[in-house]
Amino acid sequence: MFHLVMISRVIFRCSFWALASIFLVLLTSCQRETQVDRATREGILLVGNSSEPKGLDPHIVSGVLESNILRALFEGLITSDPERDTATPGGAAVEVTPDPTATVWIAKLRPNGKWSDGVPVTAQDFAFSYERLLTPDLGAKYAEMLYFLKGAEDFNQGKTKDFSTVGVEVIDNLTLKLTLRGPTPYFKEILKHYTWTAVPRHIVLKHGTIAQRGNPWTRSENIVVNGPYKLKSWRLTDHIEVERNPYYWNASNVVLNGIRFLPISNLYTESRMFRDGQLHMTYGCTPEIVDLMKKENPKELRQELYVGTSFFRCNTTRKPLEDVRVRKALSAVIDRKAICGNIFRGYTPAYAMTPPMGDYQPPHSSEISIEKAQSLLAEAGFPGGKGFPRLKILIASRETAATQAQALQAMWRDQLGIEVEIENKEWNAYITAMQDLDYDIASAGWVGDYLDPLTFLEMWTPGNGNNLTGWDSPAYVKLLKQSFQEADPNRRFDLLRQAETIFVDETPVLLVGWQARNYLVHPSVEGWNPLLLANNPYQFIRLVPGR
Amino acid sequence: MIRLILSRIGQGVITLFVLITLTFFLVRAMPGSPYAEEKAIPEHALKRMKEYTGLDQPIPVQYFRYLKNLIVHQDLGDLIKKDGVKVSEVISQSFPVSLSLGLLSISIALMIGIPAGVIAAVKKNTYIDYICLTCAMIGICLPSFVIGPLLAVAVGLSLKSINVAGWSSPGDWILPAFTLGLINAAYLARLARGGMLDVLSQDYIRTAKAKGAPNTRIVIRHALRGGLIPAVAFIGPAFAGMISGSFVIETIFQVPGMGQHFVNAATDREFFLIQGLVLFYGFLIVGANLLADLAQIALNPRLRKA
Amino acid sequence: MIDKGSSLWADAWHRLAHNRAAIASLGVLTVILLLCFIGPLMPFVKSPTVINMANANSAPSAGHWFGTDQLGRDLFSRVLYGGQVSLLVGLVATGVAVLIGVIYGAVAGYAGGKIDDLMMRFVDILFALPFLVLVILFSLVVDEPAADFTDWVIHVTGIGRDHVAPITTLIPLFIAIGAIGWLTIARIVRAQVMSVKKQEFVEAAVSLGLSRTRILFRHILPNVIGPVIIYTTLAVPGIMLLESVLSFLGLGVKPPNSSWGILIKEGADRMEAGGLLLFFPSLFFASTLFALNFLGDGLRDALDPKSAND
Repeated sequence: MFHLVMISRVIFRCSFWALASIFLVLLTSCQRETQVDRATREGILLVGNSSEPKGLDPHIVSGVLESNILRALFEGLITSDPERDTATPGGAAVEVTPDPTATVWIAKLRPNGKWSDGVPVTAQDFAFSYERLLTPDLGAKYAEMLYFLKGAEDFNQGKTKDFSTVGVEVIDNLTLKLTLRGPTPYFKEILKHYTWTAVPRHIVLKHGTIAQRGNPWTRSENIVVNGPYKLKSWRLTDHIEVERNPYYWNASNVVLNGIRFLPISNLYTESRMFRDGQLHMTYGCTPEIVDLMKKENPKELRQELYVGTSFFRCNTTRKPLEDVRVRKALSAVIDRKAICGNIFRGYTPAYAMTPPMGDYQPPHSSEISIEKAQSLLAEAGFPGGKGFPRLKILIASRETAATQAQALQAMWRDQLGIEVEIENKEWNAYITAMQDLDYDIASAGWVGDYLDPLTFLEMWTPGNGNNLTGWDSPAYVKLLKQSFQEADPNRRFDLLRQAETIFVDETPVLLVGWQARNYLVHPSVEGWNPLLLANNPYQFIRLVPGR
Repeated sequence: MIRLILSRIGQGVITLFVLITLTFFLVRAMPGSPYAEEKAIPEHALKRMKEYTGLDQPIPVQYFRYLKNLIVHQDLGDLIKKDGVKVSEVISQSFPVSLSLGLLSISIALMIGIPAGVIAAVKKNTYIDYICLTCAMIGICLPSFVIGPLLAVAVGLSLKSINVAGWSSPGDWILPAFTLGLINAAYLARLARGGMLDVLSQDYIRTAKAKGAPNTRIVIRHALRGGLIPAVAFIGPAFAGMISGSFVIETIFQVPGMGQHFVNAATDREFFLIQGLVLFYGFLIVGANLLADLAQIALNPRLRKA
Repeated sequence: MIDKGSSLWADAWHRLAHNRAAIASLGVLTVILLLCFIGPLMPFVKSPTVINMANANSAPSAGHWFGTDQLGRDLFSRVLYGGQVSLLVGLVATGVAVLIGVIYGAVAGYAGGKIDDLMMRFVDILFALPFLVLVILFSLVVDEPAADFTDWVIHVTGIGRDHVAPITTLIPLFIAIGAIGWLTIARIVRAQVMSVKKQEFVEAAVSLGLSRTRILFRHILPNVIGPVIIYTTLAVPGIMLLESVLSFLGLGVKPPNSSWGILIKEGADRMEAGGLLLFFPSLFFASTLFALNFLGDGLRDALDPKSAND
């Protein structure tokens, strides 16, 4: 049976073939061409995309990495501009025009808009999609993006089953009328978000009912899209590749032939792959590699402002964090400059929740000196830190969170005489603890969904699933609600700024920094401009060989 | 012999059943939930999602439903967070990758480790022995997350023909397989050396030597059988470990294998995926153990009458 | 000269003492143990947790013998404090695992038949259970009692939290590792015992009427010690590294505490930007393991009754 000689024969045979193939590989792959060079020649962009997407259904997913792929496949009424953050070029719609109150908007679709199977894109598709997203049965996580529509919130909460109460009306095949809950001058900005794109009605209904969970219409053999690219292949945890969509209305102006998204979760592996000529673009970049690239190859490093904020939540329902003075003291001694520069590389110290965007300038909270902070703490009953309970900083096991927390620990110990512990929970437990309000201080971040301060401010209303601090300010809520009814953009920003001033003064969160994206781009990539939302449309990218 | 095999298979089935049941209840005891997300999911949406996956049912109901699907329909279930993706798909796409990587790694490990260990034992306390020992120690002391990037940077970045990561070009298996292989070769070398030393000092070897038999023949004919027992006992779990994948290797070299699923499924609380993977892995282990035990019986005739 | 009769253990000690590599290793280990456990009590050793970002990633200097890490913390003291954790995990956790594994495997191998089958199937099940799930569950159950225990120790002994906490918070880790670590060694011991039990001297002992326990412990086990020692010396690095993987996932050593495994991983990540962060912890780690291995070899040679009069 298992004769020893036989075993050793097998081993030697295996080894021989292994060695032979190594030799052969080394010989034959005397290719001078790297993967990137070859892809550039073929017009395919190789992109690192963090991890495997949770799906390709724009109504079901909610993450940044998923949106990177969805941007290539689906085109909404308004699309993003390759150069300017605030421009709102028409996408599937030729134009979207408001009435004087900015409450009723008419979208005129392109007559030559088609799905990737040749079927025309119609207003019915959009109406169907909005109904699908808002139907409670679907359980869409991001339905609240559509709450701008009149009656949408009630319909989604199940208070009514009649979709005609929602402000979506099909005028004709190419005309859609959207009635909003209030004046929304920035509506075109909202329309850029992928939750407002359409899904192909005929395909969704072919594989199931309108709001059926688990509908297989996004499987690679079924999916149909209206964007510049369509799905070519999807191998789990390996890659997702998209290729030109010949039915796209602007297909003749699409330069890039295709994109390959690689779910590389380890940033160090990603940087190595980039430096080995396997990627055109990375998802991120660690601080050490940032430093390295600055020395070796600064042209390939991008450090761009990003519409996100890093901060620490305070559980305002617990002592002593319920005392504003304590929170202000804790916030005042944070050396934001050091953290933003050394731990993150390129972040900007944040003095408000909303990063500057477009015409909105966030309020500037007054700096508090260290002595004032110490006296605030004494006022609150903890002079020199005496008697201050041993709080815990909750973090998930992410590298930067740990180093931030340790920095805070040291700062609070040195400046305020307070000892805090770091509680490192595994990610899932961390999220659950925050959602159950079972923490003292927790590391956090928030990335904006659209370029309007509301995306950073609406979450702090009581009962909002993303508040998680227990903070409740009626004055704040009142100001936000007023802004919903304000049609004039300047007055509206004013109201929002007032609300944000309240927020910053009461310090329910300890602000750290406004994020920057550090990532690497190969020199052969042309046309990739810095955008705050990092929502570059792919079709205008050019790959220039020989760089 | 046949009775032995049959009884072991029967035990295997029972083992698997206990395994599935234990896992089923263990995963549901974990804190957190599959629905934990950075942007919180609204209540009513959560309710629908639970209904859809059947997680709103009481646990005993879930258990019997799972068993029924498993035995009657051979359905391992779906992923919770990714709509429409079946557990069996995840396993069937990642297992071949892990299998090929595992086979290549174990070949390298056997190819390098066993001869090194045997030679070191035969040439005990000479400088050959010390060299082998030192190399082995390096393989044991340096973890995969050091050796991997080292190899990637030293070999991958300098040689144009070898990629630092990925699993698409023909040469992509070289770096990950060598990383895993070298580390396991070190273990095998140590165990083989130890086992051989024990055997070589035994009486029947001395008898053969005294009788004037040449050294090589002594080693191959008489000593190897007994001396390789500890090493062979190690191969079973080592191979199973390689198959369930090394999460670390897969992240360093971007290999779409099974190891990352073991880790990610636990962190994501993907109940059905965890159960499916455990079942699959258990199946492999039971099978591998059977083979390893059979190999031991073959190597050691005295065990045949067990 | 009359040969004074000596016992097995005296012989063994004698042989060990003459094994230069083993003695040298013992020396190295002692130095490392002293450095890591007594060192931090010395005044000239800085704090491992004080952050000074202006001085990050600096080269070795008079003030910082090994330089500083990415947050400006003194690397030398981090290596020492980290050593406490790694050594405890490596030696204590492995020791426990080996003890359980040897007894379990010996019993299974010696008993044979149905008992052996049952015991080994139990091992299979434990082996196949998803390790990470178990560890997550462990932390859930054991973290609170461990925190309470920490407080109690500080209260009773008066030793500072900085010295006690890194150790007592590791208890969940020891348990988790111990619970899984004994499996492979049980397998190896069982295989070895099964092979040894058929040898003549065992049959002789049986026919002499010696009790089974006595046979097992005094006759079989000494012959099994060889692979056991080798495997132990192999298991230690694996366990030390397992601890770093767990800590990375948030389940083991928590920041700002560190261990060699974590320091090595952080150094490896930053390898392309400079190798010192990797070099120093690896040096200590590798030295410890080398020393352990040579010591293990020496022990095995010394205890091997067959190399008696070579």
